Amino acid sequence: MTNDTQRRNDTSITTPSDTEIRIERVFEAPRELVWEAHADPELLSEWLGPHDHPVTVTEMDLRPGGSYRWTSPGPEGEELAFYGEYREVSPPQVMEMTFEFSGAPGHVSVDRLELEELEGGRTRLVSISTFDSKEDRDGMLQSGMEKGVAEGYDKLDALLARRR
Amino acid sequence: MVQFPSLDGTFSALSDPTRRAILERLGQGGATISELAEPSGMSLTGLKKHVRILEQAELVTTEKHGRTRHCRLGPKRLDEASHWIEAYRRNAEERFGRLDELLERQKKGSPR
Repeated sequence: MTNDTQRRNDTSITTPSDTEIRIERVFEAPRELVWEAHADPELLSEWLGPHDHPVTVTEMDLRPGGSYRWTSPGPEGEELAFYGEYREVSPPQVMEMTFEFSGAPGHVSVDRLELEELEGGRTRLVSISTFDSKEDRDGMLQSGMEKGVAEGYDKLDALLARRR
Repeated sequence: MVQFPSLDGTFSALSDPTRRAILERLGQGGATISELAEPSGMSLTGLKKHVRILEQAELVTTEKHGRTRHCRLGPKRLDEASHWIEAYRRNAEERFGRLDELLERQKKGSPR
């Protein structure tokens, strides 16, 4: 639960190009802690998914070429998986990985996370996701309007299939 | 990053693939209900239901000409990314809110 004193910073989302989504957010914590929250499987699973869609980090080989896998129960009890490979790992600054979802295999994006140290023990997070096509990117943006991951990607599949 | 979105207002109107297909089609120009129903293979009644939901969300307006109903995009234009981005942003915000809480606990050095 959030207490009254806790500060919530704004999250900015932009689309720098037709195939990118950029997220920027400042955290009131030192960079090492923000890095750890992304690099430690236990910590990562604590915040990645909400209570009704908890995410478990089942694999995390944090080095270039190493793979990762996150799982989450789907709406009908099936297992959803998110997986990929790390491309760059430079603690506590850069983490770049490929990202793919079991519900839309073959639609691979690249997520690049950069953490910048700010004054006063704060950290700026910039995450850029690069997609293969504008359709893939728009599908991901549209999935933000869906009820759940599985449903969202089913619809993304359908949308992509129509446009193919 | 993972998307765990929530529905609300206008977005629920857009949450259905049939309705998104309708908007996509109307983006190319106005159409009658039967023209919209044709590619989807859906019944006219089923399609009308979807159009009504889109109409309530002001994403579509309709006009009756004789026995046919003409549909076109409504005042609340689906300006491609702006709607999507807002929903996407809210998701990210939820996720980062949880990260904020985790970081607070970590800063205090309390066990996780």
